[in-house]
Amino acid sequence: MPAYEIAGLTVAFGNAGARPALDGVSFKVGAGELLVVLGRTGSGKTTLLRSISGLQKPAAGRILEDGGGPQGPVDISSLPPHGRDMAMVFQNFSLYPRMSVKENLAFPLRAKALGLSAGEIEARVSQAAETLGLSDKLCRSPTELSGGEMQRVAIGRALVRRPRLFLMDEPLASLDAKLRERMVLEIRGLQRSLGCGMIYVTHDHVEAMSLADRILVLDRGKVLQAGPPEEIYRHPCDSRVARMLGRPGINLLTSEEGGRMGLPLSEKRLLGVRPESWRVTADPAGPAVASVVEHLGPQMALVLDVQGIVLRVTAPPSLRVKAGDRFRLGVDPADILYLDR
Amino acid sequence: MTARGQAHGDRAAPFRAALLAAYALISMAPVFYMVVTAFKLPADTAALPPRFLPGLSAPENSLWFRFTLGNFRRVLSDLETLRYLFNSVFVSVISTALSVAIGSLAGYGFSRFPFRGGRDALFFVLSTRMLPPLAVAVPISFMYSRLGLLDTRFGLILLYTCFNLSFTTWMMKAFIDEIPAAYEEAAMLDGHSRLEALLRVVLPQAAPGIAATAVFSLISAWNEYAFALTLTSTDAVTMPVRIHAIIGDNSGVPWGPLAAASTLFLLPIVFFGLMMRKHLIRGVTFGAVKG
Repeated sequence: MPAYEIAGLTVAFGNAGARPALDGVSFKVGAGELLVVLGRTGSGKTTLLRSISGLQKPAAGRILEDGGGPQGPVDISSLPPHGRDMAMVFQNFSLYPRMSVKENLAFPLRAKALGLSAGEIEARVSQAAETLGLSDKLCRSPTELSGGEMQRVAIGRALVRRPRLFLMDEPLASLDAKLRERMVLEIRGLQRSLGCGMIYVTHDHVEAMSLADRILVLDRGKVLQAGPPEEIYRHPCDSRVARMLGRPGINLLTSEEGGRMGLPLSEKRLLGVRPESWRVTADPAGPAVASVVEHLGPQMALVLDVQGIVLRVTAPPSLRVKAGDRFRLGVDPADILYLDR
Repeated sequence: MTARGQAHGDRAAPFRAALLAAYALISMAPVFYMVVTAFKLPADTAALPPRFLPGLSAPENSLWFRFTLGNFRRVLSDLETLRYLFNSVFVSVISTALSVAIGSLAGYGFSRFPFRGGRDALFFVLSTRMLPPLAVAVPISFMYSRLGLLDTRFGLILLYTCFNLSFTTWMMKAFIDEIPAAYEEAAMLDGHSRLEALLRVVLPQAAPGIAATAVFSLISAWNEYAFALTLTSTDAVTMPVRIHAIIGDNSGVPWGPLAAASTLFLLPIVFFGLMMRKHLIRGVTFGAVKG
């Protein structure tokens, strides 16, 4: 049973002729599901979150919440942000600079509508602080915290209220890579243990793959594809989605190029082969010439030239290669993606 | 900063200090003379050459005058003057509180909700301040007499609130423009209504701006003369009008009591200004950070 359903959400900024920021976006989020919205800058990710949260008024579309009650899904599109049972974490950690960490964490609980007692607020704040390892930082000012700590406080502020749905707007984008990796695991664990729904927006495909129950690929305000990470990776609906996942990126060949390489063709216009799908065999008489060799540790990334066709290929490091070496290439037909466009 | 710049600053410092001291001396001289006059006997007020130094006696042709508190005693024992001083405080404080409160809300609205014609509306707000007060004094006093607002403190509060509103709206808009909307959006997502977000997150951050706006608004209400003169007669008279009345007719100006009343009139605003000094400086430079 989906907890939330977004139906035909459309948001337009500025003049009527311009491309809408969101164009008929529809999807569902399950009660304990972590949905990652993956898209490039300007794809409408942030606008999507702002619309769901109520900060942005959509031009069209509905947001339905199914609380499991007998009345079924309820349209919450017209509720103000504070009337929706959601919490949001922003990319640029908006902590209140004039409040201590403790006051920041307590702030959502002081909302009149909640009507919590001082004791209850205290208890919830210390519980959240403990969960996030902030107990000894409660009296600090936000300006004295590191980037990771600030973002922890921001996440803590979202979870003290125990909302039904978390909205995360690239919460880790301004952290360094190592910290980001750790926070991804923390967020995943937190979401699991709370059992709440989460919509997590990012442009980082690795973050998306490691977090998501399901990925929704957004491009220029439209949903391209939605599904489990593996499905998106293995069966992208088109070349835009295919290109968005995987590093090094997928090799896209026209059917003419595929024919020249002797690959099995179909009626589709494009062939996609992931770098790791190629079988690389050293062969002094082979058609492929290595032009760039990068050692990435667990694997090697090669750039190969096959009669003018440039391919990115990964190979195990046991294969000793230097630039200029020649290879034979093979691929399992089942690993070839056939795409319309 | 380079070492050269530092050295340059050090060499210029005494010069700058001297310039500031000279300027302070020139601009404070009339105020000083007024305060000194407030402590003089009538005979000393018009003496030539002028006498500056308070003493127990006033020898012939000296700078000394005989110190007296008589002028203050006379002004403070005059119940009318005291009442008018109270009128000034009452009208200024209430109208300032109202115009800052309403101006903050209006400024927030103009800052956060761009709407069609918003800039024109903002200009219209400002235009209410463009006519010289005396040009509108006649129609306003006509309206006030019909509404029974002539010579009432409420009437003055209403008027001062309105004419300060243009100023407070513009200033508060500028201050609120500087506060990122992300803070109140976060507050709203934290479950607070927009009004709660405004009161708990936006306005505390705008505190220096509010203080600066309040000082300017208070000063303009405190000093207002034209409307107070035309719209009040006995009950709601404020100090500027009263001080003018002390000058009286041509039979000779009572300099001592006049100076004492003016000094009393000056004190509250100076005190308030000093109290707000820190905010005032922050407030005035607040909008200058980003162009």
